[in-house]
Amino acid sequence: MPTDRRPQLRVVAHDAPAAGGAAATATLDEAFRRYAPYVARIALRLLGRSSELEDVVQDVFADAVKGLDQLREPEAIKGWLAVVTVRVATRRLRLRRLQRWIGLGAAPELETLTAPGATAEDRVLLANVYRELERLPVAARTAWILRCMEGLPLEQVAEICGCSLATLKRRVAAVQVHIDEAFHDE
Amino acid sequence: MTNDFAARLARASQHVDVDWNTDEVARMQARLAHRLRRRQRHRRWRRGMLVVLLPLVLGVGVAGRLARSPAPVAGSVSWSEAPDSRVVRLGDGSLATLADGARIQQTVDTASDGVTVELAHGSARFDVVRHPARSPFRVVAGQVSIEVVGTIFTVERRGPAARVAVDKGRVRVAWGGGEILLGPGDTGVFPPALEPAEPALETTPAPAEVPPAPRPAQRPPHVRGADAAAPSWRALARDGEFERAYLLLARDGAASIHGDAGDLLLAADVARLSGHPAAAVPSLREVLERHGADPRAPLAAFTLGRVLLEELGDPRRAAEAFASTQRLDPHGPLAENALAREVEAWFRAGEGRRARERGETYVRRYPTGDKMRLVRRYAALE
Repeated sequence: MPTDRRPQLRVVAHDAPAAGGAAATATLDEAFRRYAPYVARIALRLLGRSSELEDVVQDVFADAVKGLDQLREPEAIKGWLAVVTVRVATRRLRLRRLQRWIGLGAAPELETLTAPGATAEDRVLLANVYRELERLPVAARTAWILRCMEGLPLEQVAEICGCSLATLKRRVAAVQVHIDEAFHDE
Repeated sequence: MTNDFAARLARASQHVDVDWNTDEVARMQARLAHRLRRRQRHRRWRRGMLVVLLPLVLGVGVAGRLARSPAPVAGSVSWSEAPDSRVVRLGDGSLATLADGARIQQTVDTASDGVTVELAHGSARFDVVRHPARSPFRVVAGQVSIEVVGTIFTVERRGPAARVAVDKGRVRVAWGGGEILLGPGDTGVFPPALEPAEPALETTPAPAEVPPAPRPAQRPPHVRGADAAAPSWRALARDGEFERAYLLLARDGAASIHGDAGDLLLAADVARLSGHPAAAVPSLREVLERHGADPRAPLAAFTLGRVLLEELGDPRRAAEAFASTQRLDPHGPLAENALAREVEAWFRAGEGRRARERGETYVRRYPTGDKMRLVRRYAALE
């Protein structure tokens, strides 16, 4: 039986606002300054599109604010933001698929995906990869991008995506098969 | 995908990044602050409207009762008694749905950011917010502690014991002298009803319906207090560091695993959760062969079935393992799930006739079973 440390107590009523005041604002401002580019990078890699990036980053921090004031360690804040980023990006990707299905979606902006410094060859390669990823289920695409493009360990990706390790591996493997087939001549 | 292509993709991916300067970040920060202030104003306005309108719709008596309801006070212990089902938001944003007569007490350790909830009575369903790298969320029910990292599960208090059912994610259930990891679809009552008094090296094995693995070398008996000098793969496993635990286990071999059911199950979890499912199979089979009478043997059989079906692509042997689960404990908490998974496994093995037979058994035994829809589909009973 784990030892039960005697904790301090804080009770939060149902639907109570997050702990407010100057301390919470300072935490959010600091987190935004420090991690907004990180969130933007993850979101950009997940979405494959830069035009909605600023909105997504805003959505992530607006959603994450309630959990931020309870975190202290930088790695914990970063991890929490990654979880919320995946959640927000997934919502957008699913909406995008629905819009495409009913003929409302815009074409992907694959050529504006990269920061300055990317060669023409890099841009073409990424455009082709994202074109393939657009055809795949959102959850599988997300898992593959976090694992194979962001380079995160499997356990961390599973935590961020909220699935078991077995499920994550299946998703990544399924996308890899598709990518291998699409680019077997490269 | 060739190695060259993979290298090019890795290099190109580095350029999928933003190039924001501090002015741009500051501008977005100001926009976010404005948005949050607006959201706060809307919330206050909605709350105000609710207070004004609710008495008009429901009558003054309801408003009076609302006014008398005690609000949780920061710094005090909160007991939530539920005359009917009620949702409570916990300190870290997780939700607890309390059934009739359930009582919980929640505490938040501000030093470690961990949340502990004590379930004093009744049943509650927990929907836990994931916070990677934080101290785990914990539910204490009698002699049992359930530790989670982002999941949905139900705990039902049964005197000193607790029934735990996991819908999503993973939980670690611990009691004096034992612990186990449960995944999606797992259910059990803990502590197990019968605990062997001595290390069960000479236990009569259960009927070997699951194809037996080669008998491993004799293991040392589990000596109380020996863990203090034993390799620390167990400590790593309990901290959730399964990959490191597996490295130690792989280095030190089977001799570092005590022969009792608990240690074998923990070793199997280490293998499974570090991404080495095939390495979990011998430990699970050993539990079934040498500790068939152990109350955890059905859980070992069920876990073996899941590993064979979901990770190793061996649905035929998975079906046999799920059948073993039912034979070991036909009326136990895993029996229904095991039968449903057996139907699925036979279906995936291409054994339509067997899937149908077992599906018909499921329909007879569990006419209102949770898995009815899936079973009917796999057994072609729709």
